[in-house]
Amino acid sequence: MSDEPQIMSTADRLVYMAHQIARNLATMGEAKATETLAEHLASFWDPRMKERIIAMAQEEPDRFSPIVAAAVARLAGGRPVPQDQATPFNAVDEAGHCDAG
Amino acid sequence: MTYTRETDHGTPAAIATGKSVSLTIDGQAVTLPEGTSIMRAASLLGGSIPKLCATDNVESFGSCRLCLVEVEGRNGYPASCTTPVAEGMVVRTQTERLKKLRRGVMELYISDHPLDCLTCGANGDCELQDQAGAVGLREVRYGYDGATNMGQAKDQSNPYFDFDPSKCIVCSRCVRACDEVQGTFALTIEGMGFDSKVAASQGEDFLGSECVSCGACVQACPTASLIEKKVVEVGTPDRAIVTTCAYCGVGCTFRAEMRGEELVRMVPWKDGKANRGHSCVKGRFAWGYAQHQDRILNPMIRASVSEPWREVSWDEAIAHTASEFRRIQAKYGTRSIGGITSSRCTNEETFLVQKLIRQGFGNNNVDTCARVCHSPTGYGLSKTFGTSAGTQDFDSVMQADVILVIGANPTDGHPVFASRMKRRLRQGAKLIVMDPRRTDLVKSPHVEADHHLPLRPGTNVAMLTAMAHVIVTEKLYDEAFIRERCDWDEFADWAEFVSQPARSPEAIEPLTGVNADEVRAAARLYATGGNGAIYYGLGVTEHSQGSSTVMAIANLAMATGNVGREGVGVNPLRGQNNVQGACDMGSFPHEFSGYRHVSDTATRSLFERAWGVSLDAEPGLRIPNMLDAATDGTFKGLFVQGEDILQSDPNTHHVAAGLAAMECVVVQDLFLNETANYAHIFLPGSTFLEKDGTFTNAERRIQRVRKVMAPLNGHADWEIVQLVANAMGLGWTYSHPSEIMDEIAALTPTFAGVHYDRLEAEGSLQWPANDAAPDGTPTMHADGFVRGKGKFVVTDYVPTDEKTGPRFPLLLTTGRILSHYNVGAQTRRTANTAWHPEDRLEIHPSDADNRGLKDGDWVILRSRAGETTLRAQVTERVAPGVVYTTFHHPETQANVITTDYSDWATNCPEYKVTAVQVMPSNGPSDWQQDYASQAQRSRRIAPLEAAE
Repeated sequence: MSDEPQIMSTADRLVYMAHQIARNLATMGEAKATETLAEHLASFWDPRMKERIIAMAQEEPDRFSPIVAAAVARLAGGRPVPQDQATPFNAVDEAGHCDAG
Repeated sequence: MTYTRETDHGTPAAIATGKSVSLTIDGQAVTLPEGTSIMRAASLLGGSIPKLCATDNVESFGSCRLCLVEVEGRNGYPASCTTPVAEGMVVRTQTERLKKLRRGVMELYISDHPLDCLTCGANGDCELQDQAGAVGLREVRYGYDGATNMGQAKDQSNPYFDFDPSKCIVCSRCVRACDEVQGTFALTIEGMGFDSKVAASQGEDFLGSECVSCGACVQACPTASLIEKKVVEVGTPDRAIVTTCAYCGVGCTFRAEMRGEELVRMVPWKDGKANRGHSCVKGRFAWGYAQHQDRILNPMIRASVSEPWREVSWDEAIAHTASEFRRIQAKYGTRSIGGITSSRCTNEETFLVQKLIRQGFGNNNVDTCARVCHSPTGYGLSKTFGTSAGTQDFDSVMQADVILVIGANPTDGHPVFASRMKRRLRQGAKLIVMDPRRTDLVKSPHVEADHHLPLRPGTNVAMLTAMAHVIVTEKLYDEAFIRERCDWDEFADWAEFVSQPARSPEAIEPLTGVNADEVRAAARLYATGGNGAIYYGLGVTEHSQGSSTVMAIANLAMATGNVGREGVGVNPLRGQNNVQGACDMGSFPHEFSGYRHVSDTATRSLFERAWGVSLDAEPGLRIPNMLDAATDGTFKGLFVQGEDILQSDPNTHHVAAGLAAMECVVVQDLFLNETANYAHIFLPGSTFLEKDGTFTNAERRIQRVRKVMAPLNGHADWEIVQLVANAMGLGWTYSHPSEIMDEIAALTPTFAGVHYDRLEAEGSLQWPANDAAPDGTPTMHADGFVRGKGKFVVTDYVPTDEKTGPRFPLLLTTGRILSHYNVGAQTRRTANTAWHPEDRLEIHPSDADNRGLKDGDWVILRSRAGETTLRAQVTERVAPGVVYTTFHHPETQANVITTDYSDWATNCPEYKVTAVQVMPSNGPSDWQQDYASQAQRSRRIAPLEAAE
């Protein structure tokens, strides 16, 4: 192995990130994990990241686990329904709520 | 404001019992809480019984005998400081007999005290001098040749204050302040009779002693025995302005005591609700960076980072900034630029930066250093409780019975709160510490953890789930609370999950390395020991499972009913001064202020109506994704206010590559920081002393920052952002930060009741502060969770992908030290370097032996991301297999070592787990030398051309 510093490419990072999220949602079961992952990508990823992973899922499907592939396909099909409902605490003019860092 | 000392009532307020007593003092009838001292009662009536050994920050002592009073029906002359009021008591504080006694006492003090008042540093601010006047001392029958200890050497070793034994009256106020207020127990009175004097540790000088330089002793000293060097140098202040410290998330308030525009000293404000009159070495003393010669005061630009900087006018710098950003957007698209807000800046400044980006840049590419530390708190607590907020105020800790500290080192990171916590522990509260290191809380004078769980870095979720396993399988959960306040079905699913044998303490012991019996005992204590309060820090969040850990913590608190009242709760200890505020103000790329998603049409419409533009409904890029997009060629311009991402963010090589790929990097900061090495425009920033605004501390407490001097750079930071915005055509017209806060309040439900006039009246407000909670909210979720029903979330343990192995057999975890703050940009430019001149690598003796290392040896620290060198500190504070360092010094660049791994939900970097190897070295690496050379070249400033 080279001792040169390793910097992950953007493509590798996106695939890694999607699978890392999926691993942490796995206990939900396949259907809910798929929907939650799709919602997560929709809520927190910039459009160019979404476009890139959607394109990669089509061009390099072998890099994607079934759950991630299904979630990306769900993402490509339109914005998923939010998994968390708005809270009264943050309601402004019936505004929705989604909170993460 | 003119200068007046804060009123000193002599003794602390009585512990509330709900009972009161009525008495008469000097003919005035008064009713006061039971337990109040006569001294305090007299003071509350507007009087002032002479005193020397009493001060209301510490318990009464009764040694000076100056505060004697007469009580009808009682023999003798009791000390008013140690005598509580009683029903029907009739007190006289001034009689002929008392006057004579007090003069006699004062004569003895003065016969043993040097009379160099006119040249004394405390002249005009000396309680001994005042009390001599108060008792009418006119002669000293014993002469003035007592054993004044004159000739004893002053201890001037501490960089901020002197100790002059000759001025000491042995009142023990400093010793008691160190014990009771700070909880360090570094001081004592040694010797007897005339030889009595204050001593630090075992006769060491102050710098070399256990003293942590919090200043409590200096504040308590009634004479010039312990006095700030700055007061000796400048003289006494002539005005004082209350403001908020710009260091950690405790948010201490101070009186900035001034003479003209010169800051003489920062004195902790007794009415400050976060700090209650206490301070640490940083807030009390380490503000010299504000006038440091390294500060850049003029704007600068350059065409490329290989060129020297060129100083320009503000007009030119601002116009250049705007034109560069517009040029890049015209060439590469609307989403090709972005910005970073700062947790060190005010709420108002942070709000303006994200507004500049959303309104002016037309995208949501805004991120913040707050995401790099506490974003998992936002994610985890909002999922489980409904909002990104710690649940308690700091006072709550005094009602806690069991304190569980996870991944936090408050004595170093949040020292003023740590002192409160230690006070509660000394009163008998139990302590559980979950931390790979043996922090000071595990064992220090008068504090010892009942259980220390020194888990292997990266196994927080496994450990917390094992505690949940014990609580559920042993039926220690609070079923009534859960049924009433939480979703029972979700609890049942979670309980089934944590009950599985694979989650038991015994099953996870090989992962965590912690004895299962100890885990079981800790879980039982937390669940059954009374009020259980959890405090956590970056050792929770800065992991690949940071968000899961926060949810696991919330699960534990809900399962045991430890939410919604004083003494309990889930309390994130925020790192920087305004981490909470930066999060609240809409600094994340996916949400507006008040944690509302950008895709929500109703919220977006609200902002669109206020700002008169269409806003992007798509989330923007986080910092690491900005860097990726930069290297990919789609992100070309960055505005960075008050953050040094090159030093503070993980994987320095990745950050450098991203910055180097951009066409315009604008840095607004006090100093040419490491990020500025890659900048094209530098806009000099202002310090917290030079501007108005607000910070929000870890308790959600919004407090005023007040300008005490004019900005040396000419503009407060909010004004600079407004200049940029207007150069981009936004037409902002703010004339004072209060107007920005009015806009925040209008657009943010939790801040709806926050206005400067309310802050002036109340001193501070804890959000939510709105119609539903006009006076703010000290305790969250009191009547129900913000989200409705508390949500139990199953948190499976997913190990980090950062693995140890033969090449990298040790785990590195990083953190900070008491005397320094974050990347050290401020504290390295103060005398705090006396305590920590360089980053060191803590390594266990067995790991050091295996590598032939001795304490102080240079070592190479290498990970898959990079390598650096630093010196070793061989210590048992770390467990075998774990090494630890700080990231305060750019010479070390500890983040060359850390990797790109991050929290699965928020991308909060995994600073706390990096697989490394350590081996002997001869000194700084080639990379460090190259970096130092590059940094030096990059900081060149071209000489100004002579005028024609």
